[in-house]
Amino acid sequence: MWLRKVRETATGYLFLFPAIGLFGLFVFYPLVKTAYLGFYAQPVFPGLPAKYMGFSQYSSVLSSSEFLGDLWRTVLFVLFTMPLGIALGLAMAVLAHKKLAGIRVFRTIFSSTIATSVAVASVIFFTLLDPQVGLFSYWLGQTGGTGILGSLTWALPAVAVTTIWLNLGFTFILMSAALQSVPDELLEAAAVDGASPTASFWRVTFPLLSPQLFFVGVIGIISGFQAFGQIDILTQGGPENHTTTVLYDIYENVFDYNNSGKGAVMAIALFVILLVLTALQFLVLQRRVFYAGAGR
Amino acid sequence: MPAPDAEFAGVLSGDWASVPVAAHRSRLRAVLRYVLLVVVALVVLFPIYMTIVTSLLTSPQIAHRPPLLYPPSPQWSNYSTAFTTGDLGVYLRNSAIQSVSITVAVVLTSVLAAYAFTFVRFPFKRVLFAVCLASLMVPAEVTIIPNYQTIAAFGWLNSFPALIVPFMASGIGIFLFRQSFRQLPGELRDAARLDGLGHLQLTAAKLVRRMGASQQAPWTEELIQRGQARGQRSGL
Amino acid sequence: MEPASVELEHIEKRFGSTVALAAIDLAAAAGEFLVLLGPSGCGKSTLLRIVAGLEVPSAGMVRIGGTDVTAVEPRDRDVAMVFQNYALYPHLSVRRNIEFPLKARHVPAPDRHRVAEEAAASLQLDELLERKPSQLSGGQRQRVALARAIVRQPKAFLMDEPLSNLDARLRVEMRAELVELHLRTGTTVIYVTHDQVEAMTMGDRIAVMSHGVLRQLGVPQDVHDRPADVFVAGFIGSPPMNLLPGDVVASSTGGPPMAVVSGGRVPIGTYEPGKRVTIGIRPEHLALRGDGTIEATVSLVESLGHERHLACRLPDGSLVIVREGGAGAVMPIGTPVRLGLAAGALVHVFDRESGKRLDVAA
Repeated sequence: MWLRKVRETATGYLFLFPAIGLFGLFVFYPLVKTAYLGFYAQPVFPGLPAKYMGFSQYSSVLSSSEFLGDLWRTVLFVLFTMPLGIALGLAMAVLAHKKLAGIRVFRTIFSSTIATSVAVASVIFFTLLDPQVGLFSYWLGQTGGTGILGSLTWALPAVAVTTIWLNLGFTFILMSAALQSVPDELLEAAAVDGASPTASFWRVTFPLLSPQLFFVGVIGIISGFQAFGQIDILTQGGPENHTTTVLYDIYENVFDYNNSGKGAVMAIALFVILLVLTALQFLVLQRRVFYAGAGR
Repeated sequence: MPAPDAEFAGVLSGDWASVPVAAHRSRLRAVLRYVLLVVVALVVLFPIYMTIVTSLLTSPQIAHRPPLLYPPSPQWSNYSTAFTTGDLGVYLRNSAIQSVSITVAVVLTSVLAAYAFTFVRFPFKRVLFAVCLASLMVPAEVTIIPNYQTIAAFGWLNSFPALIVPFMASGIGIFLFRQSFRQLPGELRDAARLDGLGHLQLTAAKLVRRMGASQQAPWTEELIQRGQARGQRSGL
Repeated sequence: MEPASVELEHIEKRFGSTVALAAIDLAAAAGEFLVLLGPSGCGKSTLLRIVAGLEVPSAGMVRIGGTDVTAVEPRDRDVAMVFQNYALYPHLSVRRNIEFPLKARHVPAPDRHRVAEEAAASLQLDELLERKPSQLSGGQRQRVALARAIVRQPKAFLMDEPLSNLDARLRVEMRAELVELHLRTGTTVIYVTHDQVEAMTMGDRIAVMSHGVLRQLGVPQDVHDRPADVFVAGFIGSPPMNLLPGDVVASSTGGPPMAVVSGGRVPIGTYEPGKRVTIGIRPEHLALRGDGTIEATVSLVESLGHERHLACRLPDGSLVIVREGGAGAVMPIGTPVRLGLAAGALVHVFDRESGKRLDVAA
C-alpha cells in the first residue's frame, strides 16, 4: 500500500518533470540570473573578468539619460499606439455590428491583419516607406534622402502606425466580442426612451463596455512595452536612437555592445514596471467585475 | 441594434417597390454604412495589396515614379526565383520545422503535466501548478540574456535547438489541457487512471490538428513578403 | 399629455419568406386598455414592436393619435415601453434609470429630479433611489421599469409580458397595481400576454391572435361567451373548453335539430342535417346526469378543494373534462357515467372545416 503511494507520487513528479524542468531552466533561473547579472559591469575588453558593482550599477543605469530617454520614448510609443488602436478597433466594431447583407465579408477583412506577423507587417511598411520606391513616401512627398523612417520626428510615429495596423485585426475581434455582450434590449429601451444613436452609444453602450476597454487597454500597454520586431526591421532603433525603446536598448546592450550588466538592470526595471501594471489591472478590474457581473 | 434588416433584401436585389415607405430613411443610412465599410476595408487591405503588387513588378518598374498601383505585366517568375535563388523554400522549411516541433513538444509536455495535475495524487500539487502559471508572468526581456548564455553554453547557437527548446513548455497549454481534463465525467476519469494513455492520445491528436491550422495563415503572408523582397533585391 | 388612440391599419410583417403578421387591422381607443393575447409565436410581440417603431412593417400603416407614424423613429413616437426582462440600465442607479427618458429630451436637472422622484414615490420606490438594479428584487425592478415609463407621460404605454418573470403571488399584486395605474393616468395601454387570466382581468378589450392572424376582438365577457372560432374557444377558460366533432341530424321527435356527438345527442339551433360541426361545451356546462345522452367512463379525478375536475373518456377515445362544485360522490376510475348539459349551459357550434363559429345555443 505504501509502495503504491510512492509509485503514484513518483509518476506525478515524473510527468511534471519536463514542463517544470523547462520552466526552471528557461524562465525562473534566467529571472534570478538577470537580477544577479545586474550587479556586474562588463569590461570594455572581452575576456577580462566582470567587475562587481553592487547596487551602484542599478542606480547609475536607472538614472542615466539613456535609460530615461528610452523610458520616455517607450511611453510615447505606447501613448501613440494604444488609445488610437483601441478607438479604431471599437469604431470598426461598431461599424460592422449591424446585420446587413454581406457583413461577414467585411468582418473577415477587418480581422485579416491578425494573420500578419510582426515581421511581415514590418517588411510591408518598410517597403511602403522606402525613400526611393515606397508608395507612402511618394504620397507624403518624402522621396529621396532619409525618408520617413530616417526622420527624427517621424520615425517613431511611423513605427507606431505600423504597430496599429498590425493590431487592428486583433483589436477589432476583441471589441466586436465586447459589443456582443451589450444586450439588444437595452439599446431598444434607450431608443424608445428617446435617446439618439449617439446618445445611446455614449450613455449605454460605452459605460457597459468600460471593463473590457480597460482590460484591453492594459494588455495594450503591456504589449506596447514589449514591442521589438517592428523596431528592429523598420529603424533598428534609429535614427539617432529616436525609436529606441527600453526593450530595444536591452537587446542592443546585450548583443551589440556585450554589456549584459547594463541590459540586465534595464530588464529587471521593465519587469517591475510590468508587474505593477498587471497588479493595477487586477485591482481595478475586481471592483468593476463586481458591479458588472451582478447587474442583471 | 433593433431589428434584423431583412427588408433590405429588397434594396439589394433592386426591387424598390417591395420596400416599405418607412424604410426609406433607414435605407439612406444603410447605404452610408456600406460606403464606410468599403472605405475602411480598403484601408485595411491596402498594405497587403501593395505588397502583392510589388512582388509582381520587375525591378525597373519598382523604381517607377509615381509608384505603380497595379502590375502592368505580372512577374510570376519572381515567385519561382524566390524559391531558387532566394532560398524561400529553405526559409519556409525552417519555419515549418520550428512550428511543428514546438507544437508537438508543447502538447506533449502540457498533456503530461495536465494529466498529472488532474489524475495523479502527489504532494505540493497546488504549489507546482502555481509555478506553471507564474511562468506566464515572466516577460521575454528578463529571460533572454541568461537564455542566450545557456544556449551558447550548450553549443546550440544558430541551430534549431535554440529556436525550439526554450519554448517546449507552455503555461497556457498546461492550463487549457487541465481544464478540459477536469471536464471529463467521473467514470471516465477512473477509467483513465487505469487506461492511462488512451485518452491522452485522443486529446493530443485533436489539439495538434487545431494548432496546425493556425500555422497556415502566417505562411501565406511570408510567401508574399519574400516574393516582394525578391523583386526588390533583383533591382539593386 | 393627452392619451392617444393607436390604430394599426392592414399591418403585414414578413421575415424573409416567413409571414409573421398577416393583414392585421386593430385599433385601441384613447385611454383604452387593450390586451394582445395569444400563444408564443403568434406575432403579438412583433405587433407591439411595430407600434413602438422597433420593427418596420412590411406593409400597412401605424397611427398614433391620428398621426401616421409608420416612418417615425421610436424615439420620436412618444410612447413608453415596459419589457419582459425590464431592460433596466445596469450601470445606472434607480434614480438615473427613471430620469433617463427625461435626460434624453434635455429636460433641465431640477425638473428632472422632481418628476422622477414623484414617479418613484407613486410606485413606492423612494427608499431605493440610489440602488443599482442588481440590488433589487424582481418586483422592485418591475416597478422601476414602470416608473421609467410613466415619467414621460407618453401617449401610450406598451407592455410586453411584464409580469411573466414574477412569481405567482407577486403577479396577482402587480396586476392590481397596473390596473390602478391605468385608471390613475388614463393613458392608453397596449398589453401583450399569453396568460388569459391577465387578459380577462385587466383588459377593456382583448385581441386574440394566433399564427399572425387576429382571431377575435372584443370585451372579455364576449370573448369568453361567444368565441369566434375554435382557437379562441380553446384558449380562453381554464380548464379549456371541450371541443368534439359532431354531425347535425334532424330531431326524431320534431324538436330542434341535434348534433350527434360521440354517440350522444346535444340540442343545437337551426342547421341543415348532415352538416359537419365541432361542438364546444365548457367543463362547467357539463354535468353527470342520469338522463345524459353521452356515455363515458371516469378516467381521472382532480380535486381542488372547492371544486373538482373529472376527466372522462368517451367511447371514441377522446377525453372531456367536467367541472363540479364541491366534493361530490366518490368516483373511482373506470366508473361508467352519463354526461349531459348542466343548467344554463351554452353549446358553441363551429364549422368543422373552417373552425369559425356558427352560433351559440342556450
